[in-house]
Amino acid sequence: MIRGLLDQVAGDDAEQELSVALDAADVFEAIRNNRRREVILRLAAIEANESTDQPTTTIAALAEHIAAVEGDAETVDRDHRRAVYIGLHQSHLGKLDDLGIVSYDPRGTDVVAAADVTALSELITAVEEACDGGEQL
Amino acid sequence: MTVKDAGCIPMPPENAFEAVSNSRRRQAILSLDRSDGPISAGDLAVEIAAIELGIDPSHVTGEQRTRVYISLTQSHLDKLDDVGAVEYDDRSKQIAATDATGPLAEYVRKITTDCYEPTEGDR
Repeated sequence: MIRGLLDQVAGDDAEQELSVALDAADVFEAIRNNRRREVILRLAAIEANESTDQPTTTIAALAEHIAAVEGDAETVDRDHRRAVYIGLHQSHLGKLDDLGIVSYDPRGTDVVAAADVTALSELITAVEEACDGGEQL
Repeated sequence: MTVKDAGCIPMPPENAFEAVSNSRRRQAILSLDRSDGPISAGDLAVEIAAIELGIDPSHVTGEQRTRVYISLTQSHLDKLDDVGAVEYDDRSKQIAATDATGPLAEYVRKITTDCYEPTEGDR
């Protein structure tokens, strides 16, 4: 009932409605973490660049990219990249797989989008752009 | 209104994503956005318990209310206050809206609308 009410309230003035076949609570949990957001944004960028329905990358490429985004130096620090790799492997990719957003086999190297990463990236970007300043906790 | 026209959220993205990552925190933001003034942690606990249990607020038992009340007052409301999503007075147990409450509520509604639970066939 509440869900229906929410839909109605938001539906009234939402011109541009995206459609993501995921439970909303799962989406909020997925995008809570910065590295998980980066994985989604990266897969969406690959989808846009390669015009593929099934954007695919590897855990090593993701670690490289995220370490570069997080670091200030021009070259990626090896230890940083390694720490990101381990975090992705031990936590974030498994979680995104459980939530149905990516497909990741911890015995392999490929990370494949399993949901509409472009729509998800639009949600992430909308919130990021709406936020301004202040000090991070 | 499109996504971009929703209000500005006066906090770093990291804090906004953290604020709305928990269902009880999302509900606190939505309830406060709907109310005309401050609400009490006790009333909010009853409302959230009723929603979670799918029952009328008048049927929420003391025990059910207490379980939610403790998690709100010992964790969620402090967290929301720390990031500026709401203003929570620990002594009076009153919760008031901030400049961020309305815009955050808009995004919670927006994302909730855009997602739909997949049925078996969709997966």
